[in-house]
Amino acid sequence: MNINTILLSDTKALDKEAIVDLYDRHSSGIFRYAYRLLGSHDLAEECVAETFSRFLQVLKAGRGPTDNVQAYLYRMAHNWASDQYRRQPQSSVELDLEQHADHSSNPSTIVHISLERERVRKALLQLPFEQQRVIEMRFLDDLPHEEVARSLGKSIEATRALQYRALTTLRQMLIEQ
Amino acid sequence: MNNNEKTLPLQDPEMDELLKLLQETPERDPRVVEQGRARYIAEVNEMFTSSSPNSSWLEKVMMIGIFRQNRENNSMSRTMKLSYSIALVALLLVFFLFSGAGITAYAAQSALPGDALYSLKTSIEQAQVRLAADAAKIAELHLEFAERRLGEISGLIAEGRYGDIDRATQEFEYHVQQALQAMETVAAGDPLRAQQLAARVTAALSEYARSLAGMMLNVPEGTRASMQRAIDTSQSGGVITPGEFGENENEATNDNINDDQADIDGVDNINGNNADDDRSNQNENLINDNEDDDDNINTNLNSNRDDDGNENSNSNLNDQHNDNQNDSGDDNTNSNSNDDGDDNDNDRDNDNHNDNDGDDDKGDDD
Repeated sequence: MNINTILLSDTKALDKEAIVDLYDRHSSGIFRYAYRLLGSHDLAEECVAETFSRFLQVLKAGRGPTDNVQAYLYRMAHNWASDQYRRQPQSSVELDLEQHADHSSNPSTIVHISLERERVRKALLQLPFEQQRVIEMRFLDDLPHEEVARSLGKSIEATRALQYRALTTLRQMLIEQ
Repeated sequence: MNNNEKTLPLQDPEMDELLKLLQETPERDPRVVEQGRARYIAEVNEMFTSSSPNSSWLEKVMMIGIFRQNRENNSMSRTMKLSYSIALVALLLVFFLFSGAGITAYAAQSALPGDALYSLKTSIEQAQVRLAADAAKIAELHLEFAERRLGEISGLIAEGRYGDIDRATQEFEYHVQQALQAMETVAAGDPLRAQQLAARVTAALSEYARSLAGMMLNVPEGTRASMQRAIDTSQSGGVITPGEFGENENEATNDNINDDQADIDGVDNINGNNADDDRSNQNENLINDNEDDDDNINTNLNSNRDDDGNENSNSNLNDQHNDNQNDSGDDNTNSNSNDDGDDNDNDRDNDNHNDNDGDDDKGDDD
C-alpha cells in the first residue's frame, strides 16, 4: 500500500477519508499481530490504539511513511509491542487457560500447550520485524508469498529469504536449542 | 514451485505444529473496537481542523460512517453521495431543532432502548460526535447523550420495561467515559478550558448520580445491579480528584505526550526503550513546569495511569519528577488557590504518587 493512497492525488495533501480507511482496513490485522506477540487481549487492543494514535502524531509532525503505509503501521505496532515486552518485569508464563482451553484435554495437557505457546511467542518476539511478519502471514494467516511481498514492499525472492532465515532462527530457538 | 509452496506452507511439521499454537486469536470486543475507532476518528478530525482549515464542511458530512464508502469500490456515484449528504443534513437539522437541553425534554423524546427507532437515534448521536469540531464539543455532546440515557432509563421504568434498562445504563456509562476522555484531550491542549469543562462535568455527573439513585427505588432487584454500576460510573467520574478520575482514558493522554517524543525518533528507532523513557520524562516535566495553574490536571493524568501495569514504569518515573516539582516550588500555592478550598486534591496527588513509587520500587527490586 503506497503512501499515495493517503494523499489527495491533486494536491498531495493528506486525504482524511483515506486516513480513516486505514483504521478500518488494518486495525484487526494489527490486533492479531499484537495478540500473537503479546498474548494478551487487552495489551493487543492497547497496541492498536497506540499504533494509530502514534501514526497520527507522526503524520501531524509531517514525517510519516515514505512508501509503504501498511508496513509502517505494523512496524509501529511491533515497536510498541517490543517496548511493552521489555518494559514488563518478565513474570512467569501467562496462563490464559479459559481462552484456549480444549475441553477434551486433561489439565496437564492444557498447561503443557499453554507453556509451549508462550515459548513460541517469546521466540517469535525475538525475531526482527520483517521476519515476524513473514512468519505470521505465511504460516498463521496462510497467505501466499506474493501477498506477503506486497504488504512488506519487498520482492518475492526477498520474502522467501526472510522466511528461510526466520524459520532457521526459530528452529534453533525452539527445537534444537 | 510457487503452487507447491502455497499448498504446502512448511515442510517441517514439527515447526508447523509449534507455530500453529499462535494461530488462534480471540474475538475483539465490538464495543472496544467501536470506541477505538471513534477515538481515532476524533483524533483525525482534530488533526484536520487544526492543520488544514480548507477541508470543507461538506467533506465532513461525507465522512459520516453510514455513507462512507470504501475508496476502492466507488460504486456510489457522486450525486448519490451528495443527495445522501443532503438528506442527512436535513435529518440532523430536524434533530438539532427538536433536541432540548433539560432532562424533561429528553424524557419526552420518544425512542427508548428496544424501540425500532432507537438505533437511528443513537447513530444520529454518533454522527453528531463525528461532526464535532473539537474535543471540548465532543465532551459536551457525550454529557448531553449521557443525560438522554438517564431520561430513557426513567422512561423505561415508567413503562415497566426493565429488561431494556441494562442497555441504557451501558450506553450511559459509555458516554460518561467518553466525556471524561474527551476532557483529557482538552486538558492536554487547552488547560484553562479544561478546568471550566471539568467543573461542568463534575456538576453534571453528581446530578446524574442523584437522579439515578432516585430511580433505583423504582426498579426490581434484577436491574438494580446495572443501575448501581451506572451510579458508580458517574460517582467515580463525578468527583474529579486524582484517585478517582476515569482510569483508562488517562493513559491515552499521557501516552500521547510520550509519543510525541518517542515517535519523532521515528519508526526506525526500534530499540528506543530507555531513551524513550528519558525523553518522555523530560517532556512531562516541562509541561508541569510551564503550566503552574494546571498542576492539578496534569497530576491527575499522571496519577491515574497505575491501572495499567505496563505504563507503570513510565508513569512512576514521571511521578517522581512531578513530586519534586510540586513539593519544592510555587505549585502548591498555585493549585491551592485554584482549587477553591479543595486542598485535599493536592494531598491526594501526593499520596497516589507515593503509592506508585512504592509499587514500582517493588518491581525494580524484584
